[in-house]
Amino acid sequence: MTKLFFTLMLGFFLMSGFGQSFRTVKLNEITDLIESENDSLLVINFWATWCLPCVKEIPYFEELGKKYNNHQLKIILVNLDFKKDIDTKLIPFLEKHKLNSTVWFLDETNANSFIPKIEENWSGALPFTLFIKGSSGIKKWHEGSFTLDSLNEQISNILLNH
Amino acid sequence: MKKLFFLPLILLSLSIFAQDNYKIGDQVMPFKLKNVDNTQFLVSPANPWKGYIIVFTCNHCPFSILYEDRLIALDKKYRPLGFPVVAINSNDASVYPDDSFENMVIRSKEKGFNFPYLHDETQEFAKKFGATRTPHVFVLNNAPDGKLILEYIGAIDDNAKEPENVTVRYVESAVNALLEGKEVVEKVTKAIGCSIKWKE
Repeated sequence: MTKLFFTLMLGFFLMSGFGQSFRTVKLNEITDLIESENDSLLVINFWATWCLPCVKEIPYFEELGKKYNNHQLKIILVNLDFKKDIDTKLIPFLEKHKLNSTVWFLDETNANSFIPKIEENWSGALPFTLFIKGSSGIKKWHEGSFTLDSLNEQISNILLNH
Repeated sequence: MKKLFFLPLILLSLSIFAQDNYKIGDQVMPFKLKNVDNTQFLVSPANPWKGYIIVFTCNHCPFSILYEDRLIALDKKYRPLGFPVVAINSNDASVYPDDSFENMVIRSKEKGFNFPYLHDETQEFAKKFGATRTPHVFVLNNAPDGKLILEYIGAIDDNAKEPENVTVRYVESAVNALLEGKEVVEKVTKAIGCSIKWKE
C-alpha cells in the first residue's frame, strides 16, 4: 500500500511538472521587449482562445520554434483572453496543448491605449504578429493569420538577410 | 525638365500603395444591402436621418456578442435623435457557418435587435469601409450639401468585457458632437476584436 501511495504521489508530481505555465505581464514588458537590442529574432504573436484563426496557427509557431535554437529565434505567444476567463479558458487550453513557446498573458484593458503602443499600424484585429530583431533594427508586423509556409518564409527571410 | 518627367512615375507608385477605402472626411456613397427581414435596406443621405451609426459585426465573435446590448441601447438613444444603428455582417459563412444569413435572422430575433442587420455577402462594403474586425464602427453624418460624410471610425467604448467599468464612450461622444454641430474630437480609436473572415 505504501508503494502504491508513493507511486501515485510521484505520478502527480511528474504530471504537475508537465503543466504549462504562463506569465502575466503589463504593457511595459512588451514595449521593452520590442525596443530591446536583441540579436535573436523575437516573434511576438497576439492571440486569444476565442480566436479560431489564432488557435489554428499556433502549431505553426510551435513547429518553427523547434526548428531554430533559442539564440536565433524566440517565440512569445501573448494571450489577450479576458482576465476572468483565465481559469476557465486559458489554463485548460494550455494544459491541453502543452506548448513549447513562451506564453504571456497581457493584463491590460484599455485597448485603444495599448494597441498603438505595440504597433501604430495595428487595427486591433487578432491574430497579429510582430517580428523584432533589435540588433539589426528590424520591426516587421503582420495582421491576420499565417500558413506554415508563409510563416516559415517570413522567419527565414529575416534570419537569412540580417 | 528632368524632375517633371519623374513626377508621373512617383504619382503612379503612390497610387499603387494608396488604399482606396473610406477615410475620415470622405463622402460615403449610398448603398443597399439585404436586411434580415428580406427587404433591401438603403443607406442614403436622401433618407431623413441626421446620420448613421454603421457597425460591422457578426454572430460568433465574443466581442460582438459582448456589445449586442450596447448596440441595442445606442439605437434606443440615438434613433429618436436621428442617428440609427445599422449593423452589417461581412463574414464568409462558408468557413464560419455561425455567420450565415439564416443565423443572422435567428440572432436578430432572439436578441431582439431593434436595428437593421444587413448581409454584406460579397464583402464589398467591409472593403469599401476598411473594416478589419468585429465590432468596427463607422459614424456617418448627413451633411447639409446632401452627402454622407465619414466622421468617426473605431471602437464603441473602452471596455469590452465590463460595461459597468466603461470610462469613455467613443461613439456617443462622436454622435453627440455631430448633433451639436461640432467637430468630433476623437475621430479614430482602436480595439481588440475578431478579424473579419475574408473569402479566400
